[in-house]
Amino acid sequence: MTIDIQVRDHAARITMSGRFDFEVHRDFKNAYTTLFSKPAVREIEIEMSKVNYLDSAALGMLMLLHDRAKDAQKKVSLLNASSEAMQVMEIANFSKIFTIKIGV
Amino acid sequence: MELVEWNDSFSVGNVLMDAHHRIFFETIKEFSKFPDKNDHEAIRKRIEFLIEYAAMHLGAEERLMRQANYPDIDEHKATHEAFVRELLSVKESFDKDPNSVTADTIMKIMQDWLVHHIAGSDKRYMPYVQNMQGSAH
Repeated sequence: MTIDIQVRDHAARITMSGRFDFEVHRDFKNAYTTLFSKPAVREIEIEMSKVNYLDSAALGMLMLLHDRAKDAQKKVSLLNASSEAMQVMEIANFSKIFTIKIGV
Repeated sequence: MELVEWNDSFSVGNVLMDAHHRIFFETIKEFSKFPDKNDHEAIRKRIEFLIEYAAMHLGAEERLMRQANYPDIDEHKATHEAFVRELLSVKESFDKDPNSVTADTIMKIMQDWLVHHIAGSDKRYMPYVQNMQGSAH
């Protein structure tokens, strides 16, 4: 798994590639935590088109981000998840909780 | 360890809380099957993650109960605090002597608490939350 962060205007994009699982917990948390202290960043986008595996802990990590981003007054969007990743996320009704964008 | 599967009887009528609970069940299930159960560092990392996740969930649930003006919030919060103390105590035992507690024991404590807490305490705030959600529509 690699994690890449790009900040553009008011949005920061965290691009996840490979296996999004428990093993990336600390790196993922560090990636979004650094963005919380940037007032210019209003939205955090998680780009998931290159994620080829997602486990339940990854859902938990996204939920932790969702909760903390609310406290930090940042929006969160999940971008370009594959249909397989969407299936896993729908176990926990993510489409009713997160802003999900496809084809952006 | 016998794993409990999520089913609709665990629903508390709120999308976010149901998602939190369901992810909790699924993660416990996943962690209870991980292959390196004799790897103390791997167990420690999983305990830390679950404690962090549990703390986030309990905080979110308390916010929701406050918003819904749930009258027994203090009693409910006390059960949360007792659970967090239990988790921290297990973690402390593990940190002192990793052979004193197995990964299965920890997962079982979490699953048992989740099942009993949802079925008991969480169901009691359900009408207040549903009432609040109904008023918002």
